Amino acid sequence: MALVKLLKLRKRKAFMKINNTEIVDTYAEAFSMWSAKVIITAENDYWAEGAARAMTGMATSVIGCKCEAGIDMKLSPEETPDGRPGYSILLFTMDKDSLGKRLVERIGQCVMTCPTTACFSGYDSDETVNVGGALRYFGDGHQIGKKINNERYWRIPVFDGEFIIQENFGVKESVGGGNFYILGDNVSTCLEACYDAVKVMKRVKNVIMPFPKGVVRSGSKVGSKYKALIASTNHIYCPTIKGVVKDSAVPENVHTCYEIVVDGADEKAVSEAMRVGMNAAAKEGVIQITAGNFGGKLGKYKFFLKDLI
Amino acid sequence: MKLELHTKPEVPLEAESITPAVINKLKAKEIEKLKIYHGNREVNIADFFSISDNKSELLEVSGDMHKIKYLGANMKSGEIQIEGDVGAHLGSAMSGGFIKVNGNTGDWIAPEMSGGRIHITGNSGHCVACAYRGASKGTSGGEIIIEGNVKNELGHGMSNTTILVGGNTGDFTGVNMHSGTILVLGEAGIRTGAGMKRGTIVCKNNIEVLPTFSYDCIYNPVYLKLFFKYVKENTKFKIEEKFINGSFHRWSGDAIEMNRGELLIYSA
Repeated sequence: MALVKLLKLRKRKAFMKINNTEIVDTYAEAFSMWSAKVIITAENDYWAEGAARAMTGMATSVIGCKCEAGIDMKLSPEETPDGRPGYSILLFTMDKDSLGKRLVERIGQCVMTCPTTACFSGYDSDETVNVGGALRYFGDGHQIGKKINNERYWRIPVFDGEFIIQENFGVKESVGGGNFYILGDNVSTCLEACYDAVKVMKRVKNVIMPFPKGVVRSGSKVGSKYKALIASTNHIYCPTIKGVVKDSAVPENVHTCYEIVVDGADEKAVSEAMRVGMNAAAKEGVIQITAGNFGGKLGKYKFFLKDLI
Repeated sequence: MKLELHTKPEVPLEAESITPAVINKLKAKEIEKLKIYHGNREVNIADFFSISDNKSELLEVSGDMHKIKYLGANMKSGEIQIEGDVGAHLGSAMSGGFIKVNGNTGDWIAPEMSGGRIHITGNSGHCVACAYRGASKGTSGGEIIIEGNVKNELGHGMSNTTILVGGNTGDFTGVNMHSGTILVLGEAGIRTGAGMKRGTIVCKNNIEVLPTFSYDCIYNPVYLKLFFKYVKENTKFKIEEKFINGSFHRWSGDAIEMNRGELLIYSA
């Protein structure tokens, strides 16, 4: 009986194929998060990118980083509020209050400190958090508030002139934890598939893939045998223990698994990113594409793979 | 609704009742009986204006109205379009809405303004957005765009107001100002920013800076890039790229006050 159950788990139902890659009839379970879009501009791309990368550093997962963040898009001078080159950043947290705190910390430490930068809200939303209004106190009384088109900005004196920051940043309820798994016969084939997937997913607006180069090798499940941990390795997708783990989901001919996690401003953006990503990843050597879910216990969003391709 | 001046008043006419909030809820016949003051005599609007209902929310007023005062006074919302010159106290104490003047205006425009927008395509007189004599503060919000020239004491004692001037300003521009921004694209007169506490005066041309201001540095204010972008998108002012991306001399002052105001003077 146990053997039958094990075989069933190992051979999950593949309902269709893209190229020769099986797409498992399952869904990615995502959850509600709060997000802010931050526009960082600077004198040139070099400094704008520097601030953007610093601000999104160590922000892969809320589990250990308190937030998830990444670069959404590179912006041309025509697309930014002050006509300088810039980047749009998406930052996600589990609730609105902590989103404000993370923005103040990260903009204060990573953007204000970077030469020539300025920082603006990228969302036009009724819900806002006070960011510039908190950071202005760094000006030690020398800061200047200015209203342009009913928006208040703060000018904080710094060594190369002034750091400009918008007082309030728009925030909205968003989607975190969209995902799909790429299962292949070896590391290099799987990485190539991940690279191709992330490359096209980056072209989708309003999404980020917060892990290193967009890819996770240490996908996690909720909880652990150790009570102090809220998450632990998702052992059913670890090929090295598939022989000893009874509920392993790694097929016989699979020796490598990777996960791509997507956070997005809304369901539409996450769906689109997953769709283009899966299509790009399905190639020779990729045996199966599946997704992570926890039976609907973790989040309210379900992205069925069959609906996306 | 459309109001057209048919009889020029001999003495100033005080037309506080000509605002969208009052006019738009009445029928033409009722508007004709609205009271206005001709000197110290109460008269009907119809004695000076012909009224026609053009079925529009926009209140159009036309004619040579340089002796008509308080047009759009206490306005909170709506839009007035004025064709022709208009007299003093236009938009007095207005807190919202939009007044467009295709012509020149007299003195004391927008005293005690706290919100809304006034756009004047011609020239303006003295004391625009100015505190009344004896009052420590003038306007407390809103935006005024003057495409032509303006005379003395522009923005006297103002706070949180934005004033954009396409031409020249007279003497004492921004005198005693508390906060807000004045942009002068032409020449500014003498004693610019005298007694200013906070606020910003941006000058495209060089000015004679008072000795109570101290020189800070030359730099490229990012704030001005935002500000000029807004000006370009919302006015017909010609803002050249070299002005947007140029360097500005920053002076702090006025030392006889809080010393927290700034003059930003374009340095090319």
